[in-house]
Amino acid sequence: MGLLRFVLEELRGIARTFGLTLYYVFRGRWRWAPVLEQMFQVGNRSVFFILVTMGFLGAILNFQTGFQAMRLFGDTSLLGAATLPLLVRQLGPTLCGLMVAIRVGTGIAAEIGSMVVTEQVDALRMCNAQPVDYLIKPRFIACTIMVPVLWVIGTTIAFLCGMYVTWASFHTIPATYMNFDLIRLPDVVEGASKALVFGMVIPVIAGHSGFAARGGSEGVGSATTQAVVNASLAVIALDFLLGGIAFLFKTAGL
Amino acid sequence: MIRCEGLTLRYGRTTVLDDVGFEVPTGKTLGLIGAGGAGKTCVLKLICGLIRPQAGRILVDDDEITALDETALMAVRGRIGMIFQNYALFDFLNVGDNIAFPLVQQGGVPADEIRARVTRRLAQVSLPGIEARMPSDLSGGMKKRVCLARAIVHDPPIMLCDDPTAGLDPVTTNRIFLLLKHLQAENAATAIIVSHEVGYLRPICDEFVMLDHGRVIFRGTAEAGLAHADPRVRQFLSGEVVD
Repeated sequence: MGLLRFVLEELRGIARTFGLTLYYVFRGRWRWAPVLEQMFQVGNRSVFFILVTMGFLGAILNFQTGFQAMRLFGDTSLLGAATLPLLVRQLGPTLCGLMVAIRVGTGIAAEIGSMVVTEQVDALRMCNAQPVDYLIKPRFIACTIMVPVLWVIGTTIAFLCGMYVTWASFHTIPATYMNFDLIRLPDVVEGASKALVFGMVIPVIAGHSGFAARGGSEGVGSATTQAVVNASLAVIALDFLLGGIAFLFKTAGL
Repeated sequence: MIRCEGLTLRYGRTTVLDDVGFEVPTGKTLGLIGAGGAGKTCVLKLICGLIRPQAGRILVDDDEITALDETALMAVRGRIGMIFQNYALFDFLNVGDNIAFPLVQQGGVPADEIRARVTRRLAQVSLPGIEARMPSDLSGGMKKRVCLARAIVHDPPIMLCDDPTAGLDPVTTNRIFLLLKHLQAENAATAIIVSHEVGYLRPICDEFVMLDHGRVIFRGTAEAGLAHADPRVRQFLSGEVVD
């Protein structure tokens, strides 16, 4: 019962923070400087991490798939065509979401958590600044824009690294690998939707964990851990949910 | 005027404040004293609506704080200047922007006017020309004075000071209390000062309230406290050891 109550309270708190964030996005004062700064933090500072992770993912995916294809069919000519939809709609957004949850989510939770325990959040409220408006909104806008950008970059690099591995391991030439016949617009829409939703959810969950920090450095540490766990779980759960919705749309012929 | 009636605050099973009540008339200064953990900081945070009590009522002038929502509280907080125990300076802003922050958020004050007020307040706290420095470059005493400058930059009619001299050397402590006294005379502000420096508080405060384990055990002048029947009150106000 205790765990269930904790989960329900967390969900209620996250939903409230999400609602407040949306309210301030549409009704609050817009300040572009912090949004641009956060876009740099979320986007530019994450690019290398995403490139390396997604590059290895593309390489491993194509190597393992190619290895099985060689055993079963003795042919890897459709490797690029087969892995591209998987990367675009599934692995690209999910892995990018998880990487951002780890790299950016921890930063948000630690920064806001340390502001809570040093009374800076109270000071913000005393100065007529709403903490959600001032601290979460810029990060929310930045992540909503930059996670889809990172998804495009990550998916592209995964596909290109897969191409290199396919050529190096199975001697499939790039012109054969670059086959876009199996990718459809709904795959792109599904991947983009997931990236967009992950970008919206990660800063809210991380910010909520940061606001819940209590005590001192130990409290900030717990909040940071909680942020990574919650954000990662949210990415996986939402991936399943959005994938299911996309499947229903496809089977309904929409 | 600040009036607290029957304030009760609990965190889980721990009762932090139990039926706390007192009043500070307009223009008067109250010294809120008591041992660490008595609930003094909680009282200040309750008065500005940063936390909510389980029971009781708080009136700041004509506004009932305990009945207001967050939006309405923002208007009340605009009339309050608060000095935080841990400075609470925004570490992502320089000193000038920290002090200007309440005015910027309040809106409607021209940039030139904001700059002039920041310069004047920094001079008042004896820290002229440090607008461009970051809070991390300042000593504890300097941070406290910057915090004081930020608290008074919008000329608030109410001041809440949470241990404004904690951990400071005697010279800086004296300087900060002289500043508070000067500002109080200048603005005729209603103030509550939490401090353990009873010797410095006595010339500034009109009355004292002493908390012990979340309950009010004394309310009155320093002289009345020194003659109080409860040895805890006498001990705290005089600093003597009472068996």
